[in-house]
Amino acid sequence: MAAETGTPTTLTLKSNDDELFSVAESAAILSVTIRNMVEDGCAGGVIPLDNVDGKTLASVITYMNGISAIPADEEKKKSYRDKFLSDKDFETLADMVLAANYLNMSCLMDAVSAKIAQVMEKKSVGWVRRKFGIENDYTPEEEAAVKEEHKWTFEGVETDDDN
Amino acid sequence: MSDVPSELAHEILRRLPAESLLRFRAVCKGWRRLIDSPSFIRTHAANQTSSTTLLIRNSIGTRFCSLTLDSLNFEDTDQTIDLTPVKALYRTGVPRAPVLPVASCNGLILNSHYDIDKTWVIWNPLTRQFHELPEFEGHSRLIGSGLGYDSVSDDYKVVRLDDHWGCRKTVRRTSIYGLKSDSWRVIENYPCDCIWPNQIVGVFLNGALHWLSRDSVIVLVLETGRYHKLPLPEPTGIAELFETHLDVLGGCLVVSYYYMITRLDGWVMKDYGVGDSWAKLFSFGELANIGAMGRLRPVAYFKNRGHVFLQHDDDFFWLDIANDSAKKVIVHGLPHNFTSQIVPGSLFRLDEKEEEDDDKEEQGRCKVD
Repeated sequence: MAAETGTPTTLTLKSNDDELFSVAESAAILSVTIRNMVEDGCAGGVIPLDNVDGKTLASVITYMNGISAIPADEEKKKSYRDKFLSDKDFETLADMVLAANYLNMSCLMDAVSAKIAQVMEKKSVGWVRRKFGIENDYTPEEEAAVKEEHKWTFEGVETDDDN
Repeated sequence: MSDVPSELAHEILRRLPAESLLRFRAVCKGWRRLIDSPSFIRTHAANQTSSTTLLIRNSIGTRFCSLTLDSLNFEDTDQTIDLTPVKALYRTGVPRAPVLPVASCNGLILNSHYDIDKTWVIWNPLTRQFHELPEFEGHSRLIGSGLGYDSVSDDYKVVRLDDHWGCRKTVRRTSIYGLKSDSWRVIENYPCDCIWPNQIVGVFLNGALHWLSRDSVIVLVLETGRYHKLPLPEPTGIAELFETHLDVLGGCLVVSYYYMITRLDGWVMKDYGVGDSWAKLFSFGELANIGAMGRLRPVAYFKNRGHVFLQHDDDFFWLDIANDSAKKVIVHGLPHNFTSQIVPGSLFRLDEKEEEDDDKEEQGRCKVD
């Protein structure tokens, strides 16, 4: 998009815990939220990102730089995304999905959602409740009845060692 | 540490395999409502087109298991790939299970034993539910069958093509069964120049069923009930051609040409509906470790990676198209003389009528999002 514009412009992003990050505009506008700010001319000074903490923002910027350095080759981009997400734990992934949603970055959103789904696939119901912070609103009888309906899907589930 | 809000949970859940989702109905009432809602089931089914779940049937149909091809590591330099035991799906109560491949659509299977048992059944192998179709009346010879999904009426449809013996002449009839109305209706004759040699089962793609005829692909669009034709690729050496097979693999129509015992050519229609877009996908020639080509069958096509997965008797072969190299894949725990087919897991419920009110509410909510 902004490939032909002479000198590269750098933006400064600020996390909600007041960390500052410099990032090339061409990489940062992968975020539609940031791109809109740039287009509206509100990106002159520091761009405050109130919903993203410094640790997550650092990670997102690593991704922005990495993915925008790859030419238009969907296979290569996919393998970069796979590698980028391969060592992230659930908490980091959950923070990234929130950040990707806030920053409106569909490619990161898709990749992180798919990664979380992959992590969850063989997990137990208890694990999911803990990680997603969901309160069990079934009575014990209701829960037993729901589990009984498809009880074979509870075979081969990973044991509940966290992570 | 952040709790994931519900709209993002939705985004994640729709990417999970159906089996995990059936389990996660027990997480909380909200998740169960979401996972059971017709709109979520539709979204999920639409997401499963690139599924790599292989359904495997033992020789006598008493046991089914599944194998997810995605998890295999084919970068391995080994010529054999060892697999952990496959997962058993069978339980008693499922109607007599057909030899694969059969008519299937979005993870549902049409179980039709027209010459032995008149009852046709739509079966969801994952939820293990099945629905018996009303008996089909009249004496006829079955020419073709198929199962498909019409997204316009949001209905699963079963099609059968029959020759009916009336007084003095044979009538060629197309009958369509709709799951919502639970009834058959006759739409029209089927094209009279169709000769279906041995593959009576039509394959479903893009809202239409496809059957192989001698010189073309016969297409029945489920929404309109209208027929049209697509050309077949030109076989090379028509004299040696002894069998043709039509599949849907990797979201594309794939035609397999078997040339005596020496060669199997696979052709893919790259742009659906465009006759000029047939391209040679692979050519499997004589290989030391493969016997008769007639028993070799492509079962999966990974378009992005350029890989084809083929079954040959009790073995699998992994074909890397660009490098023209094939690897034998050893899977432990497989039954002997099995048959296989890609069938994604489906959440579709065959045991109850859809709750339309819930459905509308759900759709409305999703649009606001």
